Amino acid sequence: MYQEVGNPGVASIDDRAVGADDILVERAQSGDADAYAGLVLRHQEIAFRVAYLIVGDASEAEDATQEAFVKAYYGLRGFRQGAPFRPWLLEIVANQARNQRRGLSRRGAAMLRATVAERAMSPRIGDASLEADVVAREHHREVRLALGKLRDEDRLVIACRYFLELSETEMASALGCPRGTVKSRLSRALERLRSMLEGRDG
Amino acid sequence: MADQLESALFELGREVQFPPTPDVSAPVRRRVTDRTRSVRRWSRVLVPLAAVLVAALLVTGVLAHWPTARDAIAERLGLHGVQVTQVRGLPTATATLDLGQAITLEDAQRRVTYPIQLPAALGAPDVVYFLDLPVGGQVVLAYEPNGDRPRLVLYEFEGSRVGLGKGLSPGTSVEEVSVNGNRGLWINGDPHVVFFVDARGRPQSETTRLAANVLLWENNRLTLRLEGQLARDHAVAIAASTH
Repeated sequence: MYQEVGNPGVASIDDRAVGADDILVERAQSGDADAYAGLVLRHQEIAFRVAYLIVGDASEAEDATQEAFVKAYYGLRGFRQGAPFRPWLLEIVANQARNQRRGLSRRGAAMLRATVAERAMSPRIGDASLEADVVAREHHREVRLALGKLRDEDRLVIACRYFLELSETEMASALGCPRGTVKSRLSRALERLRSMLEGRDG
Repeated sequence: MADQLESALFELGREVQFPPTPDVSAPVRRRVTDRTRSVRRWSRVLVPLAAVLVAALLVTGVLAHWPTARDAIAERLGLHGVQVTQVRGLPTATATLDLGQAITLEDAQRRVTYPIQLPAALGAPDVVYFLDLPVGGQVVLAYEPNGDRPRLVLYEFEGSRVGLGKGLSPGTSVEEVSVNGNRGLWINGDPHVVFFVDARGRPQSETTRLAANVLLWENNRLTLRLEGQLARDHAVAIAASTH
C-alpha cells in the first residue's frame, strides 16, 4: 500500500516527502502495518546512522533502530497529525540508542573516532588542480585528526550537522536537548575544533 | 575561517562510510503485527486465569462478605491484572504515592509500548507522571480540581502483565459497572489499600497506600483506574469517554 505514495528509499525531506509521511502516518495510526513498513523504509537509514553515531556499533545500532521503530509504532497514537515525522522518530531512536549505550563500554566513542579517522581516506575534490587537491587533502587530514581528539559530545553534534546534515529540530531530537541550545552547542564544538586546528598549525 | 572549516566538514561527511543500513522493515512489521495478535490470543487465556486467581483469594479469605456463589464472584471480578480481596484490618499505608518527576505526555508515550488513552471528558491532563512499576510501566495523568470537579488521577497499565492488589476493609463496597460494554468495578466507602505485586505475586510495600473512590475498568490491552472523590455515574461517564 505504501508504494502508492512515493519511493520508500527517498530520504529527502522536501514537501512531497513530508506529504507522503503524513499519509503513511495517518494509515499507520489506523493500524495499517504496510503503511508503517513504508515509513520504516523511508527513514531507517537516517535512524540507523543516528543510532550508530551514539552506540558506535553496527549490530547495537540495528537493535536500537528496530526497537525504536516498534516503540514509535505504539507511540503513533500520541503523534500530532501534520507534525514532521522525522524529528519525532529521531528522538525515539536517540533515546533508545542512549539507553542501550549505558550497557556498553566506551566502545561507541572509539568507533566513531575510527569511522572518522580511517574511512575518510579519499576526499573528492572535483575539478580542482593537483596542487589544490594536495592542499585540500592535507586540510582534511588535519580536520580528521582534530575531530578524533574532540570530546564525544562535540564530535556527536558536529557529526549530526555535517555528516548527517540534520536540521536544527532534528539535531535537538538526536542530541536530546532543547532546540534553542543546538546552535550554541554546535558553535562551541566548532570553536574547540578550530582551536585544535590552530594550535597544531602554530 | 568558519566557512572553510564548515565546508571541509561537509566534504568530510560525504566521505564517511557508515556501515550498510540493515533493512529492519520486515522484522518491525512482523513484531507490530505479532504483538497485536499475541495480545488478542493471550487475553482469551488471561481472562479465565485472572478469574480463577480472584476466586481463590476470596475463598481462602472472607467469602462470607460475598453472598454470591464462587463462580459468580470469579466471573464478576474478572479484570486483567487486578486482585481484589476483603481484609479485616488495613495494613499500614502511606497517604500519598510518590509519583516521581513530572514529564510531558509525549515523553510518557515514548516510554510505554501501549497507546496512552485520554479521557475526552477531561481534556489534556495538568500533570503527567511515569512509573516503572508495574512491569511495562504505568502512566499517571493528574487533573487539578476544576469547578465542581474534584482532583482526579487516572492510572494506566497493561493489565495482562501485572498484578494490582486491592485490600478492602469490611466498610468498602464493590459494585460492578459497565464502561462502554466492558466490565468495570466501582469501589467506594471506607478507604482501601492499593498495591502492586511483582512477578512472583509478592506485594511491593512501597506502593501500598490508601485510595479514595476508584473506578477500575479495561479497555483493549489496558487496565485503567480512575481515582478521586467522584460520584459513580460521573466516574463512569469519564471512563466511557476515554480512548
